[in-house]
Amino acid sequence: MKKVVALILSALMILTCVAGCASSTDSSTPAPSSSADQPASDASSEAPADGEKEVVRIGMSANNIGIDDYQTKCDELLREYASTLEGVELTVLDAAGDVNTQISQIQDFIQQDMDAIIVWATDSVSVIPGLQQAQEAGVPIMCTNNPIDPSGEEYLTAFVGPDHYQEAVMCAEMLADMFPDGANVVQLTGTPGYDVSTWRQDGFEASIPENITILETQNADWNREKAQQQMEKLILKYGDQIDALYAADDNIAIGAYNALKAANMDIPIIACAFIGNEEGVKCMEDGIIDACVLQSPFPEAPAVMDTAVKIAKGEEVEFLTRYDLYPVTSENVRQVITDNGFEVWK
Amino acid sequence: MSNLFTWITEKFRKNTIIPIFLIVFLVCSFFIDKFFSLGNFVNILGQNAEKGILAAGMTFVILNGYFDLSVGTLMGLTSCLTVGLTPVIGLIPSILLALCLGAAVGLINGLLVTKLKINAFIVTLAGMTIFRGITYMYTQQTVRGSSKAFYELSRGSFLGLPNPVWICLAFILLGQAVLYFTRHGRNTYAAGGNMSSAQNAGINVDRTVILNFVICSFCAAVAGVMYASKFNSASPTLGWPDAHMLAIAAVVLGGTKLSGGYGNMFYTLGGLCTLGMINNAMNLLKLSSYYNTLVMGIILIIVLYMDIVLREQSVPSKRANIPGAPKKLQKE
Repeated sequence: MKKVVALILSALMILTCVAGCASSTDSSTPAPSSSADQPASDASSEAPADGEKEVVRIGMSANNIGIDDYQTKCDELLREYASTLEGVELTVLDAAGDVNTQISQIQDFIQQDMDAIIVWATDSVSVIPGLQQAQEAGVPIMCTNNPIDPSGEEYLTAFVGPDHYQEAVMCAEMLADMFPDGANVVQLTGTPGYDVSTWRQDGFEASIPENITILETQNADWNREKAQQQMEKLILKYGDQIDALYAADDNIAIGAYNALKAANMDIPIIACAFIGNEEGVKCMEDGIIDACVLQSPFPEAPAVMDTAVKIAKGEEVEFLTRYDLYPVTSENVRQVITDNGFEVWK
Repeated sequence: MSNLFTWITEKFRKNTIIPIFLIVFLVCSFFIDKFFSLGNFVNILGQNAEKGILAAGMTFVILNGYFDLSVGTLMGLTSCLTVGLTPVIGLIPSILLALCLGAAVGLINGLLVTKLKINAFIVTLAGMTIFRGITYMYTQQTVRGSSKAFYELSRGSFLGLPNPVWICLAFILLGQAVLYFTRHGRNTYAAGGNMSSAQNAGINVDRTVILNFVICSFCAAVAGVMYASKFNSASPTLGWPDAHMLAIAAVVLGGTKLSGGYGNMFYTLGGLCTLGMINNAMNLLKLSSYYNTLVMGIILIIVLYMDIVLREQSVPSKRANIPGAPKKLQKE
């Protein structure tokens, strides 16, 4: 008998610790009721289905918050912005890159009667069933950043995100300007299977002029160390033949730069998307990255939240909102960032 | 009345998953808003149906005293093949191909473990990475589904429960029937409990082990096909990196011993539902998924510790709990 009581107490302990963690990570979590003799709270605390809802509740299923600076910063900015809005309660869950988890999170949001759901898709095709379920349950659902396969667009109310394909096209144009007589380039992409990588690769490959050849393409999984390793292999294989590098983002570019420096090679690097943080800006000014397209997380947070609040209230929104992209070079990088009201962040 | 009480505590002590399940259920229902609702329960079942099939297959292998780490990536491979080959050879042939692949993999695993005597951990670990490689060779991107009917299979429901839940229940019940009513089932318990004794008793232990690996991999293939239906697509990342851990955790949480010889399908079902509830509780509490794995790990350790503590009071069971053995040989 004592053992059973011990079991109960330890389970209670764990759950209350864990519930305590919950309220400190997310400022808008309602505190769980702590009285053990209250009956299950289904009937009494459900918001009335009709009438004015004073608080707009929005749920977000993020892709993989901890994986890189961009996603972490977007998450932070989004929460900050949401907390400044009156009468808006944002709940963010991290899908940790797993589709199954993301669909479960969408289902749980529907179950919790959220007014709108924001999804940063882990996979453009596999989340579509989740989107469909949300639409069937009558919950407006929108996506950000990672584009959804066209077959799923009918379930979406809105999409807010940068145009990755266009970023790649801009990079191809900058590369063509740098090498009017042609060049051999190598390409380092993001994670295979993730649509953002695919878009940035396809956009580039489709837009480079005839006289630029891609010697080889390797994937760097958005990871700096992996990028360095892949670059080392490419240097071993091609050596001086490489005239330039096209990296899918600035993180990859920096990793590759380390490899190039170690091999005493100094070739131009073009990073497809550059997130505008302190480290990146310094790299640009030092000439490590020669050209890139600015994709700052700063316009993303207000764009996403405003659209989400609008669809939660049932207002009309533009289906597609893309934020602006700015090609930058070493000279004008800081200027472009501050001109547009973004910050250079750590 | 005290007889009833004793009977209940006895049941609780012997089947530790029952008090665990009840505690988690009650704690979640009282503490968490919106947990205690029919829609939520249906959601929990629906989210864990495919994992349940994986765990059902894993139960067989664990009862036999081994485990299979390759089921996660095998699931990913079969998922991709099912979706990818549908436009080429048709839906039913690709499903059958995927299932046969699963069985074949199980056969290979079993042969390597029994005939070549390679450690099961190594064999299945190697299998895990091999299947991931093969999957990426087949496709680097998500494969789009092309069969509406196949997609509707997952979305349909019968008596309020989604179809995949019924399929999972069918596997669990079928598995339990095999364990309790067939010779293979009894052999599994015997071989898991004490392999050399089983061998000496005339049981073909090699064949039992191979068959269990086949069952496990076959279940993984079925889970892969179910996921393909659920997502109407297949991503090469499915099952990586640790789908097998959840299956093993569900089986072990249920009370099946890792050393083999003791346990059953209902334990696995209980473990699966408990883990599903915990997962759901994390979401409803708005916790990051990283807390999820942390809490699951802690609970697993507590459960295994409690299991030892509770069993100290009974005679330590070194022999297999073979169903049908005379009552006085079984522990109190």
